[in-house]
Amino acid sequence: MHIPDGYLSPETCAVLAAGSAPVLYLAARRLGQAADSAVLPRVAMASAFGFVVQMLNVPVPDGTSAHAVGAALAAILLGPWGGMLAMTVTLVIQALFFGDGGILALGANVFNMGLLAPATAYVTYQAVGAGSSPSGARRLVGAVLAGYLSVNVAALATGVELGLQPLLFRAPDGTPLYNPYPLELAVPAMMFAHLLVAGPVEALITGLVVGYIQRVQPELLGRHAPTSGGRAWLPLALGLGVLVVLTPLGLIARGTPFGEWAPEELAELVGYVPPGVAELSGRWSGLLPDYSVPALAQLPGGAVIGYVISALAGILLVTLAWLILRQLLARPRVRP
Amino acid sequence: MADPAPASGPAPGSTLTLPSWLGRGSDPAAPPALKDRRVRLDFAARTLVGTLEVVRRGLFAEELARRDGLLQRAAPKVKLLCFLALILAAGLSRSLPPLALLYGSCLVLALLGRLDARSFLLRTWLVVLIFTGLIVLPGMTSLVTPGEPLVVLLRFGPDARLGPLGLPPEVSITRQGLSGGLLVMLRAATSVSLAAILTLTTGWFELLRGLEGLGFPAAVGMVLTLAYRYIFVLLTAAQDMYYAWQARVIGGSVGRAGRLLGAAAAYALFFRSEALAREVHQAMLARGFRGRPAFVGRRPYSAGASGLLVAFTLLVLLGAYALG
Repeated sequence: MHIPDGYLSPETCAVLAAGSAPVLYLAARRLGQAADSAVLPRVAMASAFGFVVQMLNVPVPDGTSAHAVGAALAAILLGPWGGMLAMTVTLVIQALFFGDGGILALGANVFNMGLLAPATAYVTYQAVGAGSSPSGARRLVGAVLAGYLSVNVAALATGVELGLQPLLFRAPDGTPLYNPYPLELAVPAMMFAHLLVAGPVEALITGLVVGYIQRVQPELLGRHAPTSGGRAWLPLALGLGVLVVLTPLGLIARGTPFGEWAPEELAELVGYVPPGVAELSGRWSGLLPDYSVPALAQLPGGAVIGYVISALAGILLVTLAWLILRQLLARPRVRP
Repeated sequence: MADPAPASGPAPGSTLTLPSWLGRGSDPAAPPALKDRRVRLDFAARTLVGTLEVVRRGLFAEELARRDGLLQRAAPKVKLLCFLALILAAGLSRSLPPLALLYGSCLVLALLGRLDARSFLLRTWLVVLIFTGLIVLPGMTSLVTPGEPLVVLLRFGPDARLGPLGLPPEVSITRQGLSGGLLVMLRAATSVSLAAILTLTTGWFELLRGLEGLGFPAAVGMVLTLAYRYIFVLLTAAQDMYYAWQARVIGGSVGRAGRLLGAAAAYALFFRSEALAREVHQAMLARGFRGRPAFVGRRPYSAGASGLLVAFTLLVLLGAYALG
């Protein structure tokens, strides 16, 4: 899943690196508050563990052997912030020293495997295992699901990033400048291998290690208790971030959803346009009609950028509306 | 498999005869235990080979970084900037001529770093052909990148179908597909080569000094330094566990036992890494660590070598700009 240099445009890498940087800064701050000067060796050793655990092969049921990516294990054992930092340092060392993953593509690899994968794993593990004892069966199920989903979410993000390249970066004669496979090929190609092979392998190895720890030292699993209160926004923010990145998947869909026809489509389907529809349809077309930004419509990849901007605008509007409502409804009532 | 020697009776005129059990060939239908053993060796051997390869590459890189080449004499900060500029230029290049120039500059840089040209080319192109070439190959066809056909690979004719799937009249390599595929391959080759030359001629600790010189927080460099150093400690621990397991387990069904070994090894490594973190922190405090790490320089750098590298980089960048 390590993307080498050459497949992604520098612009894509820069955007993903810029998106990753604040999360990593936040992670370093969180860990720093928790452990003061001990944070440096702690993150370093966790990273060394993250690197080496990727090299441990175990026999898998088909008779061959495999190793884990380790993002879920890192998130379960080190917590979300520690897991993110450990995976990021591991990826940096792999790229700089071992040539595993590109140097320009480091931002993308960190986003996919260093942030999305541990965050997905942690949210899944907490959602399934919250409230159960460290040695409980639900924790084990949570770990298995965390392993499976973390790898698949990272693979999906990788597929989307690769698939966006031919939409965004193409020479005037149609030559793809970076990865040539569009979304409808890149995403299924990535997901097929990960849903059927890499995901189950990650789930198996994560489950094996967590099951072993449950038998020998279950208190290790009790250190990162379910999140609550001030940190409750983290899973929501990460989940929304993933959804925003994935919104251009809508471009794969063909046709119009049932009941959302434009007047001309309706005319083709039923042979005429009902007068009410004809009268009302042109009144308001929206600021971002069909999830596109009119100013960007002519640019290459403008449709994709339009989807992402529409998603961000939607989230901002809903958040703003919620904040206003909360202010109005939660204002303390003064009784005479 | 045929018997390699007669199993009974001495051959006429010979002075040495093999006992029947020694001359017997191996049974093609191996017992289940033997089959399982092959699996055991596979997964344990793969782990050991992987860990040994990391150690070997670490030692090899340190040895190359000590050679007396122009690149080794350049200041790490300057070298990092020059190589990052060249990698970025390769990323931004959107036609073949500037990429060809940038790749040519890699070969010159490899010679300046006194790398063995043959093994360098073999290693980088092997990586590029396997990981990039095979992937972009289908992308060169009209199935993925429509355009002007150059070579027709398959002709299905009009209205051809494969079950429910409609087939295109022909599948060809298109000019757009070919140039796109070559772009990706040459860009990947250039980036992989530049990254390899940088890391092979710099050495890990000099690389981190360079990062610090470019304004990266010292704490980042320290975390990377510690992580890199202790990767080898944990790798050795992992090797010991797998060697010990190999030495103790003779046969039988090892699938479950092997999985248990993997789980136990991961747990033991995690436990060890936590203990190491505590020990290292105590050692840092005992040595008067006040929150600012210091890197010890190993060798003097030559201003002339740094200047030459900058001049060469600027020349290549200008050439790439003019061509692209």
